[in-house]
Amino acid sequence: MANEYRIFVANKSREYLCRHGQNILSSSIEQGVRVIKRGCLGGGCGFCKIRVEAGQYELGKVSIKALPAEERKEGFVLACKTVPLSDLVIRISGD
Amino acid sequence: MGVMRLGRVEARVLDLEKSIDYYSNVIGLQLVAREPGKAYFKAWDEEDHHSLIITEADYPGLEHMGFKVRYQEDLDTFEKAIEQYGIRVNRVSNRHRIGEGEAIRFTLPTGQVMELYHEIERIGNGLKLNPDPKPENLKGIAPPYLDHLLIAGEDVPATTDLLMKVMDFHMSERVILHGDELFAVWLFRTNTPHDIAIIKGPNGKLHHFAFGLSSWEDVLHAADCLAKNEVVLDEGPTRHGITRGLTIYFFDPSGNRNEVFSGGYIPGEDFTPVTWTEERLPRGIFYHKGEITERFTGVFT
Repeated sequence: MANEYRIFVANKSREYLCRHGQNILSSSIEQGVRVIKRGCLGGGCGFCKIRVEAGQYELGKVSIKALPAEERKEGFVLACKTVPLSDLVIRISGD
Repeated sequence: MGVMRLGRVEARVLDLEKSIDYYSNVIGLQLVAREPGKAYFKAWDEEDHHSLIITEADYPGLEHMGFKVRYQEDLDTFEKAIEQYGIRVNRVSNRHRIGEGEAIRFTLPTGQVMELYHEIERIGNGLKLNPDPKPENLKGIAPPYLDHLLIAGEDVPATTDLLMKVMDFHMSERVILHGDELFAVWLFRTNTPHDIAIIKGPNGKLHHFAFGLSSWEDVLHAADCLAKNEVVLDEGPTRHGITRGLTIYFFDPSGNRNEVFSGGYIPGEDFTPVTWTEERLPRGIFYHKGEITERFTGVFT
């Protein structure tokens, strides 16, 4: 199992590392990579919604209003509750 | 007669156990009762059975807010008046929730569920005979009371009109944009600058609910508690221009925004409202920084 995964932000051409077990928003904030909007960090507000284009991940409990089931099926996630299980390619929503 | 104060807030949470730990140990409320899917809390200086209910759900936000009225008969009076105003009112039966008596229940034009009630079990604050200023063994931030809440909705004037005309709320402050758009209001029934505030935004949403503190020292202590417990900060510690209050905003584990609030002035019923316009609004919101942040105006639950 890798200690770190590479998170590539497709539409910003940026890459950062995410420690095993850490969510992809907190790790970006720690490294000063301000590409994802930081909201409540609790899976409640949907401010950090992004789309995962490639890779495996685990999504924790999030608000069904902030992330409806159909969006989840299309690969949308809340970054604050998304823990990578492989390297990921993500796209920032709204861009 | 009439509405006395914001008596209770029922907030939805994603994880009940995590939220019980947060509201007990970080906020420092007293856990007074539990039932499947719900927990009831009071702040240490409150006498009623509870002021915060958390209810497990698939999404966070405001389940209901309850304002306490002075007399039981006030429920009949308000039921009639609200119906006459054109809003349907339902009765909530006695003991619908732990410790609570009967209530009337209706939906505000901005979409939030509001209850008015008088009866609730009184468990007291334990400080009524030769008391010390504080009880023993307070934990965390330990606010003495629930203070106010801020709700959002499309039609700010409609909810404002209902609260002022039918429930005799008074206005302390307002934000007017573009010359005539009532964008936000701060309303009170107590002698604090607000018991409820309403801001333009998505219907039915909660911006925050706030606990009262007694001083700037207490606000700083709260900030230290939040940092020690790695609570997610939104803004502060700082001062609001609006209300002149001292504040910190932060998020509970489900993303509901909480505030600790201290200070402000003491308005009377004849208070002349303060008006803010776009030129000075950023200072109204965060007086020191003078900037409005996207997160503060954009995150609701």
